[in-house]
Amino acid sequence: MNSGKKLLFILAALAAAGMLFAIASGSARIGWSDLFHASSLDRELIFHLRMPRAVNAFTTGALLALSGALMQVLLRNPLADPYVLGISGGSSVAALCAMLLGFASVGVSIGAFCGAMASMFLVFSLSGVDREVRLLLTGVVVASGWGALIAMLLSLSPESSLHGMLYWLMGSLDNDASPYPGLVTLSIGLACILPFARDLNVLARGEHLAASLGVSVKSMRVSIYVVCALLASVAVMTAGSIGFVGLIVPHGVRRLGGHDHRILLPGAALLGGALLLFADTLSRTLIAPQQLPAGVIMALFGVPFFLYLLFREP
Amino acid sequence: MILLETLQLSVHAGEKWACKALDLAVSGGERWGILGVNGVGKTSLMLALSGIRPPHSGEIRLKSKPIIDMKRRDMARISGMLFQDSEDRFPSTLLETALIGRHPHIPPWQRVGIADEKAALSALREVGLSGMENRLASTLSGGERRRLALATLLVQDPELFLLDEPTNHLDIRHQVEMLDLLKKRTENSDKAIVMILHDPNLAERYCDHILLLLGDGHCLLGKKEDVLTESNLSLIYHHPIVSAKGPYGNFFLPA
Repeated sequence: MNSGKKLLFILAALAAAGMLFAIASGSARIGWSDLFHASSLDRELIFHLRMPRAVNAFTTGALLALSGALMQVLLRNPLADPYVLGISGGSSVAALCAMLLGFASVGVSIGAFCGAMASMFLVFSLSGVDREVRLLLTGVVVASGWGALIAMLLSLSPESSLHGMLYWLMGSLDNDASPYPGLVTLSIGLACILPFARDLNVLARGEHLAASLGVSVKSMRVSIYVVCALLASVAVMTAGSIGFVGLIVPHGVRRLGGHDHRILLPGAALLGGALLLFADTLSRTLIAPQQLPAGVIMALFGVPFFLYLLFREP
Repeated sequence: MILLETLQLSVHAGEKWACKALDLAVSGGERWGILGVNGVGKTSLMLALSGIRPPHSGEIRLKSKPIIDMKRRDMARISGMLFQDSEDRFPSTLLETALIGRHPHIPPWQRVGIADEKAALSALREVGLSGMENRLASTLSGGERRRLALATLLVQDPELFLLDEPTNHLDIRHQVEMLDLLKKRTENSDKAIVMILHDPNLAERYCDHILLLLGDGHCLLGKKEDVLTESNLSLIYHHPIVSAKGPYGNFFLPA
């Protein structure tokens, strides 16, 4: 228990460092000493540009990592991730459709949530639990189907909105999205799921065993499923589809000793947030003043990592 | 007191019947052995008895309450099951694995306490896995994993132990040690065991009641002396079995 708290403390410190790094770096230089008697322009820059973006990066990373951790328990497969399994794709398609149909942001959000739910349902019911290869293949195939639909929707959309849509799809935090939906969802999500962390520990070891140890497996599965889709769709709404956070982060926290979901879930949220903060800061400073989508940076880390997990000795 | 009771219980195993209209009553202090050929539906019956898979028809009662009306958590404090195989796809230490046995005993809003941890450590000691509590379960051998699963069940400390082939993967010494341990837990107490066994000799040595599944839904059940006989065993295994007197009662050999 003590080592778990230590781990959470370290991860929180890492997230705080990521936050400071994000706020401090950028094309306009702000010295640490200037922060205290900052001119109004610097203040504006920090509180209205870098801060909201940094908060969005943190919450998006945290949402994706939590969603991935939950999905892994649900499928009892450590390779599950909302992006790899096409959940983000389905969410994006539904959100794009809602945008093209002229819905306002609430409609688009509801669309993204329904898209995520539908995509999860499709992948899970086609593949069935407990079949690792079939699950991954189904996810990949469904994801590429969503990819084709996205391409179709883009080719049908008006030129003026094309660049913005494309950039959003690639997974970017370079937008003026409000930080509140992400923050609220993350808090609600954690508050809903943390009391059941011990049930998740049991559920991760098989449904029969969980049932024999007093977990009401069916209702538990349905709730995880809904929370999972909600977290992933809010992440998609904030920053498009960013891959591999949900895969790398829970794995990393487990490797650091956070097997217990009471540690793993908050730990994944912190590490996921920190990871995306660093990725986003790199994305806007690497070839400044040009910006890269953060999703690209994540994929550069994520693809080799996923392959390593897939091929390592069992 | 009757712990487990079935009334006219019928359970499917795939296309076949594991049992039809079975009336079984297991009282505290009893140790029941279930025997039958491969695929006869022993595990299906066990899953029904533990409330995991609903039976085709009939009623199952735990301490005279129908399990259909019971909450999972309340059931888990009365009956616990050792499954044929354990899963560990996610890393978890031996201590963490044993600790999940406490799950039904800890109220949802309460933390895992020192007493829980002590119970887990002492169960690991009982099955001979002490000093390894911080190792990952995935590094264990098949037999050690089996003992870890038993430790988890001992931590759960149910009144009714449902064991699906408890001696799977175990060498002879550990088979005997495991069954001795379970026998000690239930002897002169209100606890009971229902276990699936493949070896009639272990059934002879460790059980006082026997349930034989014949394969067509019919069952033979009763006291060991009456049921575990040459002719009955030859009947269920479709192979002649002979017996001889041994130091621990009869022993049975395929002819």
